[in-house]
Amino acid sequence: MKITQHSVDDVTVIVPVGRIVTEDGDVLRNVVDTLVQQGRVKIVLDLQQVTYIDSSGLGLMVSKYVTARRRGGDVKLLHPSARSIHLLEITHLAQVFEVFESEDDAVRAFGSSSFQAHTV
Amino acid sequence: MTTMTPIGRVLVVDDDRALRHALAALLQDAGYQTEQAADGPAALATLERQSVDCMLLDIGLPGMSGLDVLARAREAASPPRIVMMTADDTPDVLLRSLQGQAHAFVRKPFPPARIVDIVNDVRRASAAASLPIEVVSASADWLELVAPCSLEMAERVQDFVMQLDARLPDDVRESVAQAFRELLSNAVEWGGRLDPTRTVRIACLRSKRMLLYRISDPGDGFDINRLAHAAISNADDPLRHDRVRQDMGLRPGGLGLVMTRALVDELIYNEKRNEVVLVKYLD
Repeated sequence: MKITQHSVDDVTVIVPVGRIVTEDGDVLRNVVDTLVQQGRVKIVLDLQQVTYIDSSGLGLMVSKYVTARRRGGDVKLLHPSARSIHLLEITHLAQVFEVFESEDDAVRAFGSSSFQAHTV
Repeated sequence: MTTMTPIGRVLVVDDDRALRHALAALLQDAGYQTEQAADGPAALATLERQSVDCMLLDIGLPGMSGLDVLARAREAASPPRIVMMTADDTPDVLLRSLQGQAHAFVRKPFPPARIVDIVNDVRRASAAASLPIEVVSASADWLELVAPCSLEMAERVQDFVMQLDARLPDDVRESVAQAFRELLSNAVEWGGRLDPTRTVRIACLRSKRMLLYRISDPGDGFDINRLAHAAISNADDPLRHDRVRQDMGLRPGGLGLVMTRALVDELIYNEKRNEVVLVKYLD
């Protein structure tokens, strides 16, 4: 899995490319953990280029949501596929995650502006 | 001019010259050293001359078929991991590739980038991913395998099995594939403790009206009443299982059973719960 990220003020948009699965979960976990350690707990997870999510990947998203919320932040989902939305529904996580189809809307839900991009 | 050290050596075997060259060029761009062969004898001669990490092997070669080359290549002193390629969409070639211990199987046509992803996955796979899979039954209606307990093997098996279901409607195929993957991963991880010296037994049965998969793992089973770390035991709170898992020091997860239950029509465990059957009805 490859991940890029960019910041909009205090919101970080994470863009994973590939699968979020047991075998590849460490990459995403490390990126989120690093952000949390830096106090950057307002996170948008852009799923547009995610090709597959298994239960471990979904579990990782839940775990990072809980971590961010405990520190006053949040993890919001952007551009989930119909398949991902179905998975959220059958695991009752649709009632947990806020889902957006526009990055502006997702970021605005935190209340931020201005753009700075970088890659990890 | 700088010379990059190749990340691996790939032998591309296809009688379609244009495709062979295109694949070689893609792989070279991705950092691989490539060799090419237009038929089986040339491929085997290349393998005698030098070791390669991966062989992309067309099945429909003139004269000696790719399946014959697969059998011969497996006898090499240092056999490569072999990815079979074919435009034949019948189950027979897939099953014979599996019997021949091919590492992966890809149907033509495929997006060019996909072959680079496949070769990258093959290159990164651990030794456990190449352990032999015993094919107990190679009928398209009854495929039965005994396979070592590793996640990479589980992925390899899933890839083969789900290509047998390529003609199903997308939503059915995706649901079955996800459920099968979840159960097989559970079997090798929790039942087999990711110990490749232990094995899981997998049966995939197809009738006109249903798909049935049975997975037996070598573990002691589990108690459904002692799964506080799983979402299926916390229907009233979708986050509680994560807190329990953190307290227990478990990796994130716990959603496999609740997910699988919703994706298939029936999920039946034996008494010990080290054997599970999933059923998906097709009408």
